[in-house]
Amino acid sequence: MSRYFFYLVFVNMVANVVASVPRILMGYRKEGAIISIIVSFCSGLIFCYIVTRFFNSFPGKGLPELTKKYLPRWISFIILFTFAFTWYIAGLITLITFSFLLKRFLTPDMPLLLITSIFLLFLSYGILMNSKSVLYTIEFVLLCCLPVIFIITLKAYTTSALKWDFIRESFMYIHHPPSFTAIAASTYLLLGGFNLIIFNRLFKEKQQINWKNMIFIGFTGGSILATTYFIPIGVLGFDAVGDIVYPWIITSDALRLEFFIIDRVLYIFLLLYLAISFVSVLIHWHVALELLKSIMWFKHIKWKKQNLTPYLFTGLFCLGSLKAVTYLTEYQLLEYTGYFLNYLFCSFAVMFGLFLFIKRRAKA
Amino acid sequence: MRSNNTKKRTSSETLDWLSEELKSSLDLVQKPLHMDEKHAELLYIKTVVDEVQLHQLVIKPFFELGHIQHVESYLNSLPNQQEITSKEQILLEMTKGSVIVAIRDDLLLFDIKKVNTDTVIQTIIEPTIQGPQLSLSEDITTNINIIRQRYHKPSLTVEMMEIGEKTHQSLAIIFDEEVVLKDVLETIKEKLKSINPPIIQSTTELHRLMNDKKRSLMPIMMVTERTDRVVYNLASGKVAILLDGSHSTVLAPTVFFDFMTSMDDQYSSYWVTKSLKFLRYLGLFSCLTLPGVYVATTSYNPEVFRVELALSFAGSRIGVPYSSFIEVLFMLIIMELLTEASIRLPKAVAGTATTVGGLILGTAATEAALASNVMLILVQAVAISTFVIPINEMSFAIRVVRYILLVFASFGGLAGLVLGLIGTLMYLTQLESFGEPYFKIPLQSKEAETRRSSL
Amino acid sequence: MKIPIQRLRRPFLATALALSLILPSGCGFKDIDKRIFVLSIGIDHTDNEKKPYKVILKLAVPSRSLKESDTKYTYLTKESESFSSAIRLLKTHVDKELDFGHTKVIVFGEEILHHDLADITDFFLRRRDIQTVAWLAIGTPTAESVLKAEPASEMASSHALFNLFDQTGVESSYIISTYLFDFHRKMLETGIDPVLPVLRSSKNKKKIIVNSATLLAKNKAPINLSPQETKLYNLMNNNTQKLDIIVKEEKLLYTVSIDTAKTNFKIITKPKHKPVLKLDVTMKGIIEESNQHMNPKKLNTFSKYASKEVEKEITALLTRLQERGADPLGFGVRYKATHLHTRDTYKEWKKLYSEISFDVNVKVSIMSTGIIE
Repeated sequence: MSRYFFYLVFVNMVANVVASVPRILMGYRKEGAIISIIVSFCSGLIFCYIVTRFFNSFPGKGLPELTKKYLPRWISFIILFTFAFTWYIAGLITLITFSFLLKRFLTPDMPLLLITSIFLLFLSYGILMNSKSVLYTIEFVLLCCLPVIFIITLKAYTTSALKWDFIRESFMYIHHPPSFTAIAASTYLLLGGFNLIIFNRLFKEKQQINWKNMIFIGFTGGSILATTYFIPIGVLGFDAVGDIVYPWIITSDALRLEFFIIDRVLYIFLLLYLAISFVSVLIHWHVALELLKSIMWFKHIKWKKQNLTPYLFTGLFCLGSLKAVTYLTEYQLLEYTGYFLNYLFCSFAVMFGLFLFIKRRAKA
Repeated sequence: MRSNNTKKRTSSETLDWLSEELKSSLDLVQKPLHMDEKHAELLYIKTVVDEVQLHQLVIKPFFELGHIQHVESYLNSLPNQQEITSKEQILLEMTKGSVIVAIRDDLLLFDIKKVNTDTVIQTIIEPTIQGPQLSLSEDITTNINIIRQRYHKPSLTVEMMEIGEKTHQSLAIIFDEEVVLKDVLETIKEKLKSINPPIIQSTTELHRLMNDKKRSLMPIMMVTERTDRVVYNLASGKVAILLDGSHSTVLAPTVFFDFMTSMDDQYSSYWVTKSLKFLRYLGLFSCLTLPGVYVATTSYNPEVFRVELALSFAGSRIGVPYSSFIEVLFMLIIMELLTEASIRLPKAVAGTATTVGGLILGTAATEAALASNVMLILVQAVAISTFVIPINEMSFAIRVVRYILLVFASFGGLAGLVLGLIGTLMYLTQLESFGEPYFKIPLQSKEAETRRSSL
Repeated sequence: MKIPIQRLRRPFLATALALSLILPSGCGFKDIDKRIFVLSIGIDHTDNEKKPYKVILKLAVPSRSLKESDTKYTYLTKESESFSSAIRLLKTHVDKELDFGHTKVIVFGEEILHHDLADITDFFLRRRDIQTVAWLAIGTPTAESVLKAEPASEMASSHALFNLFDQTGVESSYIISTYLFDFHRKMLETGIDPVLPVLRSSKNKKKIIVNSATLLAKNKAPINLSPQETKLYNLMNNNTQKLDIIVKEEKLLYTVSIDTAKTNFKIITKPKHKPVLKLDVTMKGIIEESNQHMNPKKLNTFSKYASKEVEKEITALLTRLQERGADPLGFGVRYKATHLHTRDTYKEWKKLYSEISFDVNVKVSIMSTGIIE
């Protein structure tokens, strides 16, 4: 399996922090979060495997091409439009969460609209690129971020502030039944493979996903899932962590690099997540834009021989996010993120029916 | 019969036409040779013809050989003879240094040019510690000679063409038939045929003309004067373009990472090379981001650094009357002016300039509180690390990008700087050099990546 | 004369861009010399009913060349009913913006301990710019006296209090460093109690001394720990590896300097037996000082004496804490971590803790007698 597939999966794993997944999980820590994590780990892996196997059998084709070929036009229109909307909301959530984070911690004096606009400026440039350039950008950003992630994880596990007693205490709540919201939230980590619905267009050679790849994804996903849930509990205390609005941010603030020029790991963490969440929104909105481009193409909007449809959609994306940023409060954002993650889980389960249908049609 | 007549007619007509066209220049020589029954006429431009060789090749045998037919058959078997296609072509060839011999109603054209530009000089733009020290010369034949002597392979192909409406310079396209990427070659040839500049003097102009984007920042073809670099690139399938009169060649297609390699990498041991490469990339990163980081941390988030560092920054800025952004811009512009001026300094004033730049500007600026200490060290570090980049074109491009990043950092703080960096990255990944993606990290072996698979 | 719009576009863009360069304001651009850094905050209790809190800020004044002069400080004090209002009012006392990004020490006055500390720490945690790794301490008799002390040994740009707590300066087993987040989690968690170091300044305000601590058990009066007890607490909490043990055995008096120390504990609850807390301490060290000649063959005996001495002291400390119902080492959390959660886990623990007996095993290994015998 090409290494670019793993990048897509990995970005989702790391960007879960900005999608409020730890906060949701902390809310359920006394009500069966651990079992939910285990269930979601298995279900996430299964989802990932199914979607990759499906796209492996159609090399070089993305979902729009497949639905146009095997399904009647109006069904494909509805399906692709729903997916475009889903991906747009996924990117929007990350964007708004990160704008709030920036406003809260890094630049409190800057108006929120300005922060979001700077983000949107670069995002618009990015999503209008072609998919190959997006993948190359992801590769480079991830390569640069990898050592930083490694340092932060190492620091988190070896710091004296981490009390293993708290983690063991959280384990003692294991006999509670799992909750659907917690399962849906932690599955988000392993859903990166679904971006293949557009990026499969670039994998023109026949790819094969084998058990070695799945073990690798499982191992990374599992350890990141465990780290996301347990480390804030260990550092911030089991009871106390429920109070904190951004568990991972405060956890990183509790770490200190004593002998480096930057004292507080918080700033390194924020800048790292700036890059990662940018890449995450880039992927999601690029997928949404490509889906929209494939279903709606206005031939007559032209300016100097260049068709303006992608620009129109980008403008709509930006307007929507600017409105949402000013309108939502933090609590509303958290609530809606929870609902969205639930919906995501269900919609992907439904997507499998679609895959089955297309596969049957293709064989026939 | 009729063609013979026309030929007879045109040959003397052509001669008259040629001497009419070139009458105005004083260096035209029209000399009849006459001995007994042998009669011939020479027409050439004195200043571009090697008269010694002319004497040896044409004049002496004319007088030594017996019969005029012998002379004609001798002249026809000289390898210097060029084919005549039209009278405009003869005119052009004469300006390059060819001699017309009119003998027995036949016109023969010989290439006896004199070149003064074939001295091979030392490498001045891209010096290395080890490795060959001689660069290319300014004459195209000498250059092709140098390259061929380094690359003894029969598949090395040289194709010549002419370029430039007014100057008609000769251009050579060199490639290795076996490994060259065919579609790149086709694109280059098409582009060369389609551009029609009036004057072209250097291969770097070619670079700008062949770029699809009219306003580009990053170089997509490499300009180099080193012969070993040319040979390495030819062996890996690139195309080299040589222009008569220009002492550097242009290589295509080139990706971003080619600009960061120096020839010394091939000549040192493995770990030394790796550490030097790391140092180079570190230099690139620091020269891009240091001014932005300074502005972002002193004006937006001074709590990012440790207490001691923050207090030291605050202390060094005491007395500076303007904001940090203007201060950085001011110092950077002075550094740029220094760098630009040092290219054009006549040797007499070189010493004064160094003194002015280094001592006076630096120390005096701090004493007068026009810049802070920390700022000065930073600007010097930035200036030095810009020159770590081996190829000049990339170095200039990076200097421009640095200012863009500085602007973003001044507007958005650290977040603006990081987003600006990612924005630059996105711009780079979008570029393509003749079909090759400009910024793709070669994690697999080079052959697998350039075999033009889908990703 | 009609100028086509296209021709105007480029100069217009250029002027717009140039103008925008002059105004990076309104987006948080503030130069570093327009900010003044607050290095530490002190909070005292006043007798005023309406304005119970007195806030003291210690500000650092940067000097042009750090090699020439020491750091100078200025102080701001204000009494108010809440911190935000105090700080907003204090802003009007200075001409520069107060920057809390480097506030690393927060000192509480002794009087404050009798009031609810959770309110006070709430302010510090809720604000984003005060570091979560700020150190907390208690100042006797008032926070103001501690903050205003400027020790002579303090060098330019390095703050004495930072060096005290950050173990890169002085490393001592009598100093407890409590971070803000650590304090917060211990305050909210059932089964562990926070401990804060106590700072004292000498009369001429030229020295800061810290060698004791206060234990803040929830819903109980604060318990003072003597320097010796502080040292033992650090040992049991694995906070420090280097400490000293003074052993007195009849006429023999010697000091062992410990290099490495490790503590483990286990709660053993067997049915029908009394619950036991088993605490194991292993230490290795060398002899630092002695009033007699030390025979190297008798190192084992010296180790035994040292072990017994430490066992005695630890058991005394633990019993004292048990009587008061205080639990700074987190025995409660360990109990919760090893028993499946039910509704009554914490209640069970509280009952257990009052009956538990301590089984302390200390193993001191003295490796050598030092340079001389």
